[in-house]
Amino acid sequence: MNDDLNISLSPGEPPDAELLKRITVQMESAPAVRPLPSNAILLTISLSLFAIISFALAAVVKFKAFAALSAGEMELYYGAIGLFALLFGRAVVERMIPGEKRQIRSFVPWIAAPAGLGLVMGTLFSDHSTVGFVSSGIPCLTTGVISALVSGVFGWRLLRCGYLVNPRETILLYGFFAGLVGIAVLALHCPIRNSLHFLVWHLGAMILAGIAGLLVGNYIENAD
Amino acid sequence: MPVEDTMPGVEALMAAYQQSDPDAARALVTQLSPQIFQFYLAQSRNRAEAEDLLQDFWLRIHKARATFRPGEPLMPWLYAIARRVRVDRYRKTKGAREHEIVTEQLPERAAPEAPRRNEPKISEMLQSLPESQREVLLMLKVSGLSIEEVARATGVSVGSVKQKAHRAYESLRKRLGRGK
Repeated sequence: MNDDLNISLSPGEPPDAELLKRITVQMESAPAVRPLPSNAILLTISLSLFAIISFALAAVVKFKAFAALSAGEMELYYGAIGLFALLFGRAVVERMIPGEKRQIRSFVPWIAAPAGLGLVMGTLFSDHSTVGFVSSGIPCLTTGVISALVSGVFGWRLLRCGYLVNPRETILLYGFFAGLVGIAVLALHCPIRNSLHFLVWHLGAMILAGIAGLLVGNYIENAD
Repeated sequence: MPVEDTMPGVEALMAAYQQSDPDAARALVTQLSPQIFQFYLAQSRNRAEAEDLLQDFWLRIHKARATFRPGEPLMPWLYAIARRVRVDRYRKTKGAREHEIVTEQLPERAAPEAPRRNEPKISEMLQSLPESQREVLLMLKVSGLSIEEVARATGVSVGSVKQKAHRAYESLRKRLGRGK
C-alpha cells in the first residue's frame, strides 16, 4: 500500500460541550454489567444447547435411526453434523461481538453445510428410489422445521446477549444453525436410508430455516 | 500518530465503566467523543447530523457495553458500533432525502478548512471517494486505527482494507495531480 500522500486531517471543531454534558449525565448512571464470556465459552454454550435440544426433541419423536445405521455410518453422519455445528456456532459467536476478528466468512458455513452433508449422505446411502417419496418426506420436513423453530426460539436469548452489528448476516447464519438442529433431530429419528429423501426433506428443513433467518434478519435490520 | 498513543487506558476506562464507575464514563465521553464526532462529521459534512449520530452512538455503547471484553482492544469494538449507527441513520434518512429539497441544509454544512501546505482541501476530496474507501481512510488517517483494527471494525479481511486504502490513495493522488 503506497501511502506517500502525507494525508492528515486536522482535529477540526469539537462537538458541542452541552451535548457532551448531556451524554455524560446519561452514561454516569449506567448500572454495572458483567462482560460476556470468551468466545470459547459462548461456543461451548451454543454447542451444548445444540446437542441438548437435538437429543430432547429426538427423544420426543423416538430414536429410530440408531437401528438403521451401522457404527461407521453413524460416525460419519453424526461427525459431519457435529463439524458443521462447530462451523456455524463459531461463525455466529464471532458476529455477536462488535469488532471481533472474523475467522469464518459468512457464506462459508451455509454453502459448505448443505454441500458437505449432501455429499456425505450421497456416499452413505445408495438408495435413490422415489417410492413413497412425498408421503414419507412431509413428516420429516415438518419435524425438521419444528425442531429448527424450537431451537431458534431457545437460542435467541443467547444471540441477543451479543450486539449484532450486521443483523441480516448474523441471523441468516443463525437460521441455518437452527436448521442444522432440524437435521440433527432427523438424523437421530429417521430410519430411511435414501439419499434423495435426505437431500430434499432433511436438507430442505435447513434451507427453510435459513430463509426464515434471512427474513427475520431483514426485518430486524430495517426495524433497528 | 495513532490516537491510542495519546489516550492511554481507554480499555481500562471502558472496563471501569462496565463496573458503573461514573468517572470512567465521564472520561470516556470526554476522550473519545472528539474523534467519533470527526468520523461522523467527515462523512456527513453536517454538524447537526454528526451530533445526532454522536448521541446515538453513545446510546448504543451504553446498550452494548457488556459485549466489550476487558483485555481486548477497544477501538475495533467502538468503531464497529460507530459504523452501525451511521449505516442505520443513512438507511432511515435515505428515503426522506430522496424526496427532499436539501437547500435548507446548505448553511449548516461545515465550512471547508483552509488548505495547508500539505493538505490541499483533503476533507473535500474525501467526499469524492466511494463510501467504503472513505470510511477506511477516515479510520486509518483521522482516527489512527491500524489496518488490523479497521479490518475488525468493518468485518472484512486485512487484505480488503489494504485494497480499499490503496484505491483511495490512488484516487486522491490522481486528484492531486501526482498520478503515475
